[in-house]
Amino acid sequence: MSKKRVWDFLFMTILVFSMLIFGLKEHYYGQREIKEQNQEIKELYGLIDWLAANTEDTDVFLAKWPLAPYIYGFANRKVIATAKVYPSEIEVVSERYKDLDTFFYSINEDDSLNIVKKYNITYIVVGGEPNDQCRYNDLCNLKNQKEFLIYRLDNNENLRYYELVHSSDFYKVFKVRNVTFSRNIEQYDPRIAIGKYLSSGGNLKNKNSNVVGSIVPHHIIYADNIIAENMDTINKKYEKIIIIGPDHESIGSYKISTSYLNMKGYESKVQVDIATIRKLRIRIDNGLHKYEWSIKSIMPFINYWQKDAKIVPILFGYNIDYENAVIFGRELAKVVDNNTLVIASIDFSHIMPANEEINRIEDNKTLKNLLDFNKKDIYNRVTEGKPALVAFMTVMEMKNATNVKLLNISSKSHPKGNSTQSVGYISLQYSK
Amino acid sequence: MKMSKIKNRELFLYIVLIVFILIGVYMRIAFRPSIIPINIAGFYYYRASYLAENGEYIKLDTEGMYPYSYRENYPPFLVLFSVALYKISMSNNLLVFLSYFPIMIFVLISIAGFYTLSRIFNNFVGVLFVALFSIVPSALRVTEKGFYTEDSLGIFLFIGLLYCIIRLKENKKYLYLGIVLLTLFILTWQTFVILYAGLLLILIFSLNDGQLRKKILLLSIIPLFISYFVSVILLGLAYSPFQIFKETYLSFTLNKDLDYRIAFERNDLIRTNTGMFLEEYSFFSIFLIFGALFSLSKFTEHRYRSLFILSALSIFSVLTYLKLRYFALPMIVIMSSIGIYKLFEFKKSNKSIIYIFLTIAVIIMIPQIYSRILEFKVPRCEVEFLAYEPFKIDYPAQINAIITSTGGNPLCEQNTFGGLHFEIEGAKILSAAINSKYSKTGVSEMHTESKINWFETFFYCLKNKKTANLTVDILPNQKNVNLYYRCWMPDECNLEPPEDMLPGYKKSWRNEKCIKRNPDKWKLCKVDVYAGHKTLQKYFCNEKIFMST
Repeated sequence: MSKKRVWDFLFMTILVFSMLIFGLKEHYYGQREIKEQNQEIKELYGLIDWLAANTEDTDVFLAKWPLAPYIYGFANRKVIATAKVYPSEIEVVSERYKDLDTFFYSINEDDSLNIVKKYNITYIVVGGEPNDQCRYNDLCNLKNQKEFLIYRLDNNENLRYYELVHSSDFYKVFKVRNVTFSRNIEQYDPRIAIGKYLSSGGNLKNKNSNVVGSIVPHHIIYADNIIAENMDTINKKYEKIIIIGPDHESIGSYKISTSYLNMKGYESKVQVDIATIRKLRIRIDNGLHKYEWSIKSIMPFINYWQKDAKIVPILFGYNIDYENAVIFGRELAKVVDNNTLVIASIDFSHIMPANEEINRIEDNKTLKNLLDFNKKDIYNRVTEGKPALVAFMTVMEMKNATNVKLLNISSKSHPKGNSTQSVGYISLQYSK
Repeated sequence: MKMSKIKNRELFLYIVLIVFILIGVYMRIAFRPSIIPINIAGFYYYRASYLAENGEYIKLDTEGMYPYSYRENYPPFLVLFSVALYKISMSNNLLVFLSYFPIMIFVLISIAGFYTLSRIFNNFVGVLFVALFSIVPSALRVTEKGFYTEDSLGIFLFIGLLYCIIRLKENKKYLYLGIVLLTLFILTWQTFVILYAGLLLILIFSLNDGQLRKKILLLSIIPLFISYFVSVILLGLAYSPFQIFKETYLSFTLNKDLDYRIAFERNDLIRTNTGMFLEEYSFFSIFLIFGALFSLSKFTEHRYRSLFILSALSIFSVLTYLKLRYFALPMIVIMSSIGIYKLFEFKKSNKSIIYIFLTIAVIIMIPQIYSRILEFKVPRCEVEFLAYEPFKIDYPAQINAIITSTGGNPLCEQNTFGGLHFEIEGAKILSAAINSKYSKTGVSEMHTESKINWFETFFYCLKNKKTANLTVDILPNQKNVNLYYRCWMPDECNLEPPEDMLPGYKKSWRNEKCIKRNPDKWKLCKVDVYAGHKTLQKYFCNEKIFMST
């Protein structure tokens, strides 16, 4: 046999044997884990089947992120975080992961309810992954880990708000018991409102691609759905959006003011259209615009549906008379072109103590003026933002946007200090 | 006669090829749970079932990060391709079909890899590729039953694309095919960004060749726009190649950000060391060094230059992030196959390259072999206590302990840990702290039982000769301060957890025989512990007496 043949033979033998040994080693270790995995997968299927059969599409689940993809992907249920993340999403995702830690590693069950409230959680799922992921909670280093909620959930111990509804060796499902929450502006997240609106299917029928102007409320806690619907039904992408609203407390340095500051939108900052601001020659009051909420509160909604549009924010004090409001409206109309949308951000009648019947009567009077373009009467109505409304209607008149579509007229009552208040909302679209 | 010999040899290689594919298929099914496994990438299944049921691709994700809604921004081709195959197959169970989908892709990868390498080199290299891809751990994992993610399909497209890149100079059809494959790759896997870095480097080194330069430019640019058109315009998704470039840029600029670290705190976003590398790609991957050296020596040739650049990028990417191990996989297996083949033909190879390879291989492998030997040895821990005696009653005193791993390496898995059980009689424990620069550590809560104060410490992976330091502050309250202690290390073994193990511990605890305790026989400890069992367990302890005045 030649040397070359011997070498070929040796080489091939060594190669095949080492590969076989390697394969057998994998087989050895593989077999060891299969039984364990079979049991775990079986339980996972049990969990998925249980969730699909016993919970609703509308239920929201809280589970650690390694478990959540199963709930979301296989049981088709809503979760607040999964393993998916892009660098542009880190702010949102890290907040969710921190919230998961805050929930599972809370000591006081009442603290965990803040997270339940924040996301409208209806079910908690625990198990699967080891419970050693406490990282973002100040309490992580607590010595007595048995005090953590996750330990108590694991052992179904002393739970006031969470009721065990499904259990297996690896997984447990808890239903959040009925707890009544009041809505709170500090915890309000417009992205949640948009998510809910979209989950409900949105308004598919009333799409309008000729809108020149819109009137929307800015009382986001109670009227977010109205704002979302108005923005969603505008079926056109604009380059520029002029937003006018009242300076509620009339504390601005100028009667009419704007700002150079970019505003917080849905995911990123919304850019201001500097060129238009210069053309309009409005005074700048950045401080007021940072504080006042009539424009900034609806910005995430506008930004979500009009992602690429620049904005021109304009605030009106209360001390502007009718003539000056009309004059300003005429100036404003000059910078409104086919790619511009004008939005008036107005809440209408405010009644204290709450009386929605009065809201209904007063708002219907205002609505009639808005539909009939009876600008002068606006100053006699019970509403906020009268100068802004008059300026808005002047622009609409000058742009021949006289087709007015009513999307919503309603009112909501809510606590206000030691009393109550009811606020009226009108959602309109003006098109050519 | 000669012809028949050649044919016989080819026939033999084809038989070996089929055998390795069959072995690969067997391993990918038999080594997996008998129940259809499902993996964490449930979002792909979610999209596939949506497409299969509704006949259209999901455009808005309202459930994955409730209550926010996101425009769909995941690459769509895996779902489109797999669901198309599902529909063609007439199968009536999507989950079962998708769980076998990676195995189909394994067969496709084997055929594509064989074809590519047999065309670029010869059949032998092609068979080597298939053999390695059948058994290499990360290849096994990425194409096993139930591993339904974009990676396997991406690897298949990558191999096709590599073939086109290497043959780009020869015929325009490779340019057209390359454009199609790169478009599909972009629509499958976000790692195309790394591939673009490779194309850029190939372009830079091909600047002198006008025709090749033009083809590389066309190959690089056209797929960006086609994939954008398909994904954004045609399907109405938010996923676009330009968005992924932006995301990649953000990952570089934001990676120091706390939010980034929290959002991306995954166990595979770590640097890969040599041990991990060999665990992922097996010790056969050592031959990639030879393949790479050989390619480098022929860098002036377009095919070797392309192979070298893409391999170097692959290795760099996996060393940077373990997460990119599947992206690096095809080039590592290809280079290893070339390396083995060139070593097989060592007489034709440059001797200095062989010497350089052997030197590097020895340097890399010796510590690995030593480490593997240690894994076979039984792990053992020893504790040495230091304290200034005599203690003074009612005055704080300190006991220091050095815990040393003196046997083989312990089992280092996520759920396993070694530890020290510490009981003290005649003193109150004020505080305890443990630290080790070699392992994650922790201290349990303090307990008191009759006159005994006790706690336990944990060290998660204390390898041979590595130490952990324990400091305990005590307040002696009697003349004799008695210390009872034991330490333990988890060992690799194949035994089931005991029947009475609590469910929560079943995953993390092996059979008692797999836990190596020191002492394993002596006096019983004063305190019994559950140690994951449903009933209290008795263990042995060493004893040490400190004197107080």
